[in-house]
Amino acid sequence: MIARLLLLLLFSLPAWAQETLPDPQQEARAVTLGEELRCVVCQSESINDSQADMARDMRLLVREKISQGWTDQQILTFARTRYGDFILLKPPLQSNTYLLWGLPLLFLGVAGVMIWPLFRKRKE
Amino acid sequence: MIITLGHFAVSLALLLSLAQSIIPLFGASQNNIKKIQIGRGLALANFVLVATGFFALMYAHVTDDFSVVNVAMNSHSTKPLLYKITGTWASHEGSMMLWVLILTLFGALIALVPRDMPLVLRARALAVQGMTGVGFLAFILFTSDPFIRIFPAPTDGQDLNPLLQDPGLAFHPPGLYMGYVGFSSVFSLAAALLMTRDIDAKWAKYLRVWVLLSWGFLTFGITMGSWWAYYELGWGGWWFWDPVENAALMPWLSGTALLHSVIASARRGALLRWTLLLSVITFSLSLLGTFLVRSGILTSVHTFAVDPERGVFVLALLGIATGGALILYAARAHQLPEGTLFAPISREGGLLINNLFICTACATLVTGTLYPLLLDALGGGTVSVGAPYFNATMVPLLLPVLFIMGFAPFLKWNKGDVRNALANMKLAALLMLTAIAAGLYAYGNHHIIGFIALGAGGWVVGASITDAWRNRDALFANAPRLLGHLGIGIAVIGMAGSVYNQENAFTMQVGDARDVSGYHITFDALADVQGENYLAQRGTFTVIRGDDNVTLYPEWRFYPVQAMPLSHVALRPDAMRDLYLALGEEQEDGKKKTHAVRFQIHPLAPWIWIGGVITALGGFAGVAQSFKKKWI
Amino acid sequence: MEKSKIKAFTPFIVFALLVVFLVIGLHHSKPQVPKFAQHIGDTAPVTDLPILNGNGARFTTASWHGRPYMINFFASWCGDCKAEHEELMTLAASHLPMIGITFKDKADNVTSYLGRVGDPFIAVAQDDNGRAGIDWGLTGVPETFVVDAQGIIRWHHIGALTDDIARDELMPLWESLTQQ
Repeated sequence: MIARLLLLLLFSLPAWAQETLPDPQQEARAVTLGEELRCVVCQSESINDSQADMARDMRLLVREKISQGWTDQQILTFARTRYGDFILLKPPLQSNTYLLWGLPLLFLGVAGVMIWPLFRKRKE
Repeated sequence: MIITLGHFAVSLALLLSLAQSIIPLFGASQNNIKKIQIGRGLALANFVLVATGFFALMYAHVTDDFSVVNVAMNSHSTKPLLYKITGTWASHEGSMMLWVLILTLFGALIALVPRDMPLVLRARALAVQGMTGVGFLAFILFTSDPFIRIFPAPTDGQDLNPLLQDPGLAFHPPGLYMGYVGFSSVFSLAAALLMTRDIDAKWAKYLRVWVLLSWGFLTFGITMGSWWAYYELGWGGWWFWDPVENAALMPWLSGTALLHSVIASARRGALLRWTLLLSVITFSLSLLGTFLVRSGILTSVHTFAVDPERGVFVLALLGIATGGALILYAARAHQLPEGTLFAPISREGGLLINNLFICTACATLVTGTLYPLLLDALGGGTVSVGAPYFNATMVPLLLPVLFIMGFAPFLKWNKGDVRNALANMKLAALLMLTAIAAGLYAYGNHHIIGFIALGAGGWVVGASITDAWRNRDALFANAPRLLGHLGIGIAVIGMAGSVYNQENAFTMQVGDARDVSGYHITFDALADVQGENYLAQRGTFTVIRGDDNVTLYPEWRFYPVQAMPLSHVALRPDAMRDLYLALGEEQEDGKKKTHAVRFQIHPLAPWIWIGGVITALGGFAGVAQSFKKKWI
Repeated sequence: MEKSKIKAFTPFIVFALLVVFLVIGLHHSKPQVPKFAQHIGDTAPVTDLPILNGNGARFTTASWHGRPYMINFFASWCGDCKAEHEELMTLAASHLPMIGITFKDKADNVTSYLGRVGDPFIAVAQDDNGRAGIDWGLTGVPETFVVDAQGIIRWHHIGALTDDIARDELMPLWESLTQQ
């Protein structure tokens, strides 16, 4: 954790304020979306976590689109057509991520089959 | 002079480590006790030498010897003494010195304890520990030398990053490395067991104390790191699924699996192969983490100064150590004792099924962390894998673990009885329902995951209490499990609370009052404060809700040497919630001087760290048991 | 017996594969910020911005349909932009139609900046809030795009332009676009 720190110095902490939407439900959506969008100029931070200017612009953009009545999916698509899959912190299920999403189940299955012989047969 | 001595000591340690990795091996194969004793002496000498180097570096930091590049780059004469001391390990070079200090410390411990360890086993473990030492001492001396000097010396240093000037730096890295690097001892002993013919399955007991010790420290280190990030970074998160956090969590998960399988092996002679394999994997994950952090291969915000040469070096070390151990495993696995079988419904069965889930979670974490890199290397495109992916995969994988860990301790070894065990789950079920009901009452019925987690935490806490009551005559004998499980349950409740965080950001000027999330906040005063090496504006805020009346003092600090601002959070922890207040920089808004203010409510947050520390104590309790059994 | 021996090698094989990938990853040059190469071949976004000191005139991508052009995002506060400015002046001298878009900047600052270092652009449009930048997938300034006569993005460069990049990448592409 030491080091998340190092990057932080680059940014002062301007303008936290004036970002929140008045409607708590819309704001909750904005927060959730913010977790799923990567800050494009930072290193593996979401736009919620980043103090970078670019991330703030994105946070404001997300809120603006929400108040214009866009759906979550529309906003994610909007971001994705501009910045590619890279901007999605939760990668979409597609040919190059089948392994990523499938591996937990695959591993569970294979390891499960492998450990089965360790169980004693019920009848002895 | 002292720096030269330190440099010499570390260089000598490299030579002696080379001897340590060879002589005891011959001692073991020739059954030559003298050579084995030489090996023990070498391990102790290496620890003393590396400690000499480490304290020489610390001396340079404390005495402001800016002729040492490492000090000039990371210190300043006005820096408070505590941070001069902790600054020793705040840089890449210094933290590698801490790494090797702990590596040789564990080497020295293997040389001494436990007393009843078979000599051949000890000898081979010392040799393997020596080999790791050779690799990392060479890494320090050839790529990351902290003793390099400059002439003429600069008149003052460039200071340490203000974010690192925090007491957290005193606890987090040493605790984390004690765990991370401590697993080297487990690795060495597992390799020694694999080298030794005709071993008894129950010899796994010699692994147990090392696993508990390292795991306890790793738990403590991760907990401290999480807490530090929470209050120091100023935005109130305690876990970010950042690649470097993941790098610490990987060995923790596999270490947790190991912790349980080693018990089954030591007690029942079961799962020996699995235990040995996990021992190798756990330290390999520590090495993988070191590689990821030091090479800069992953774009993480944690990365130290990046140098590809270092990456190549650590990758080579990882390849040799893990590759060698896995070949040894492949060659010897079929000769290992089969171990006893057991019924699916049994204590071992519970351990094994939880092992399965924990290892799957660990594999998912490794894959998720490396996936963007692997995909890019194969030309498969650019993707990001972040918190939403890990939340979506890790949470479902670890929830079953929580339910099983409440239940399994009530099953007997070998063959358990479900009905009998269920009869003990009344309190667990009650606390589970109470936690869910309390959550519904306090936070309303949104965020289903929060209730599931609250329920799971209540279940584990209830089960632990029942478990303790049942074993009230033998609390010490069962302390590792009781504390470990209780701590996890408490931490999970705390984590569940963070689903219901309330975060508010707004601007205020002195004299303003505002109602936020049920609290009435007044910005009473603002004062200029002179810190030891910083200037600050300190706000005085009163936060009132009902009878609860708190005064908080957040600061906006400025560190002149690095020309860096820092928001110092004011926290009011209590049993049910943290109040968290951060002050932003002063802004001219027309004639007014306003400040951005962040006010957050973190329900149950303190439970996370209290639970983490209790869990760590479980590991240490196991170590204490070994002491009591006169293993020393 | 044989089968169990092979099984025992599985962990090693998995690990060896991992190391191979890590070696490839280590040697793969890793930019700090990824290149968004997926923009190349995409239709340029619809952009409609006021022109600096243009008395209400606007720059639109639609009005450029049928002609290739270059877009350079810059700002007066950005160091790398100053670094590439001489290169832009050279390109302007070879009659490359360049539209400058100021990224989150003030009109006065831009005017005095261009007055100081020279104006290579045929028009300067203002993206005050950075929204057009986001439409173009911008990660910072400077960034440069080339759009062909059909309105397709053909080139995207992140960071300062240099002589080498202009000679090796930009100019050959530009010539092929204008010959069509």
